[in-house]
Amino acid sequence: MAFQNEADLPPSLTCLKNVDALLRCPICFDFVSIAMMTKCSHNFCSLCIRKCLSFKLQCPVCNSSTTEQDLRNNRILDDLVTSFQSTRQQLSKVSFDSPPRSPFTPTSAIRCSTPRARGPARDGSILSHFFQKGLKASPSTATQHGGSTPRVSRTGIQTACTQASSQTELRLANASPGVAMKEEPQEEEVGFEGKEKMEISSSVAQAPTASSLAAEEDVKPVVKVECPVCSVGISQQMINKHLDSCLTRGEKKESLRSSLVCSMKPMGKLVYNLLSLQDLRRRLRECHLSTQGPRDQLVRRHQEFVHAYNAQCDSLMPKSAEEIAKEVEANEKMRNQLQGKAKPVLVFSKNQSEVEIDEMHSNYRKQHSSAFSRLVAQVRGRLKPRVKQEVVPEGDVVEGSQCTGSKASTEVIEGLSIVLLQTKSEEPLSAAEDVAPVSPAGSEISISSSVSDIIGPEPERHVAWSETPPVRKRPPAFRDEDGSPPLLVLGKRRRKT
Amino acid sequence: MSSQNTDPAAAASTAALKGSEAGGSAARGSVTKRLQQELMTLMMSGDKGISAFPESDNLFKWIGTIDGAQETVYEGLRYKLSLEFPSGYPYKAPRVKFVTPCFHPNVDEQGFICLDILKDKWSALYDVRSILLSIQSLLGEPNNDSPLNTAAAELWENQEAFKAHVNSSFQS
Repeated sequence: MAFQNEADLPPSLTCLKNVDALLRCPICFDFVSIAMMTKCSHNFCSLCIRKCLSFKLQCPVCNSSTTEQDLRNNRILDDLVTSFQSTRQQLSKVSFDSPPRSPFTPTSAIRCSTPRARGPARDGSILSHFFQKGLKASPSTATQHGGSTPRVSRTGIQTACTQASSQTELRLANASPGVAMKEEPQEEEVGFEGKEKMEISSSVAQAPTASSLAAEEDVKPVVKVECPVCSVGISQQMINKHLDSCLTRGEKKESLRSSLVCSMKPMGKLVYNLLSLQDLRRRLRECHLSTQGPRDQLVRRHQEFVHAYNAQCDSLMPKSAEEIAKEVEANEKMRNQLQGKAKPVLVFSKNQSEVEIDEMHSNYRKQHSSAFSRLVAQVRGRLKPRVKQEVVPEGDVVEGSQCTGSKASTEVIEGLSIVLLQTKSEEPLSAAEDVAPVSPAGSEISISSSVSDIIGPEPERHVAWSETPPVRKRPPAFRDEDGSPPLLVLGKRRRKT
Repeated sequence: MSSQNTDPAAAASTAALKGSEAGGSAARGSVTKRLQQELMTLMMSGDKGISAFPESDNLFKWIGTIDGAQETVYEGLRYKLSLEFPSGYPYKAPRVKFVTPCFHPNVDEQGFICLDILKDKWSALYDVRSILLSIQSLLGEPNNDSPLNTAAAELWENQEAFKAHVNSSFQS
């Protein structure tokens, strides 16, 4: 999935590229997650900028001094990212449906989308989707979607909203149609309803006076609601009684008052050098982290946790500390595995001459020249079913048989092969003319064409290569670089056996 | 300190294992992902005179090339560089050095480069492309106030002689 996301927009949608670029974090180059804005109005992922500030107290964009305290949420950016991501996915779905390079793309797209627009099809066309969105966004038409219950609860919410002066809550309620849009059209009603329920519970909690209004919601007896105080699922009729008892319990009140939206408080920075080992272990235990390993590893683990935790504090729906701890530990494990198996394919010694090294490279290339074409064929084969199934979970794209340890390297392959495929589709014309100078010895056409595609944008360089004898060895060198995906594949296979 | 960064590959593969919700947790400072993106943009942008590609199966080690800019003493020469990305990348600067010997006031005999953005002025926003472009412009506009190679700094005044020396000492 990651790469489906990452993959560039289909050629027909290049107009969206700017929007895409603007919604990405300049540090991780991914879509902004939990956007934070600095004093100088630059936006980053919460985690990215926090990590960055742990190295240097400066805004990475403009170098003006910034501290973590200066960071503010920029929630509209979060909303933009979620809605853009879903839009983008649907748009690329539509353009996947139509033959990629057919001259009749517009007509075929229409042909594909019209039948869907009529029925309640699963993957509705963009048009119908936006239409539905419009309906949902206006409260007056909400009845058309949710039957009687949502209508009742909606009034409940609206009243609650007017009572509670909290700006955030208003925002929440307003945002709900947008959030619900993420689900598929059929499930939308369910999701919508569920969302409303959650809001009810929060509005009840924040403004206890609204409980009388919320009492109206006994229309659907089956529905369970999560208690906003203790997070236990309670049937809707019982929620008020439960809430009363829940709220009378003293210690819970404190946590409620702090703020429902963000009950997590950011953790402070520790001066690890001043901590004793026992102290450090105790703190790790408090964070649900393992206390195994040498001191620097413990410190790193704790630091990582603090970053992740503080980043989650900025979220409207923060993950629990246990969840974060699990992720931090999983990351650490993965990193250790990676480090353990990182073994160079070619080993060089200090006293080897450049010629010898070049020779080793070229031998390696000769040995594995077919691997690259095999890989390209593989990816092509994979791409076809992917187009049909539209949404393939990442694990499927990568062959299922692979052991988890090699996942990372497969990611690299995927990335590179996607790079290849993309450069290819971007420059179908220049490909042909560049094939000749770079075609590597004894390999198939697929290699040479993709190689030339990569270096396609700079044809004049080929000329330079083929002219001057000293640089003539460059094209194969480039092919070697290019051939790195097969190196990976082979390395992985070897590891497996 | 360098280890604060979550390993990219690790983050990415955990996401894969989880079945991954789109995007969401993917932005967890994943270095490999960022490097892949950089590679992609570098190749798509088609900048003249610079190129870079991972050296082998290790995405954390790249080989780059820089062509001397026109109307500089380095015109027509191509320099190879190695780029090594620490695990703290992009919060920490990559280690960049010339593989091809380069006679330049701010490059020493081992190929180490004295460039502020690779040291204290590094920002997480810089990528391979901006590094290579900066080095390319450094070639034409050396900072002679803090030379690593004093001989080169002194010779810089005399462009003719400098060019002759560069060309005679150049070995690809």
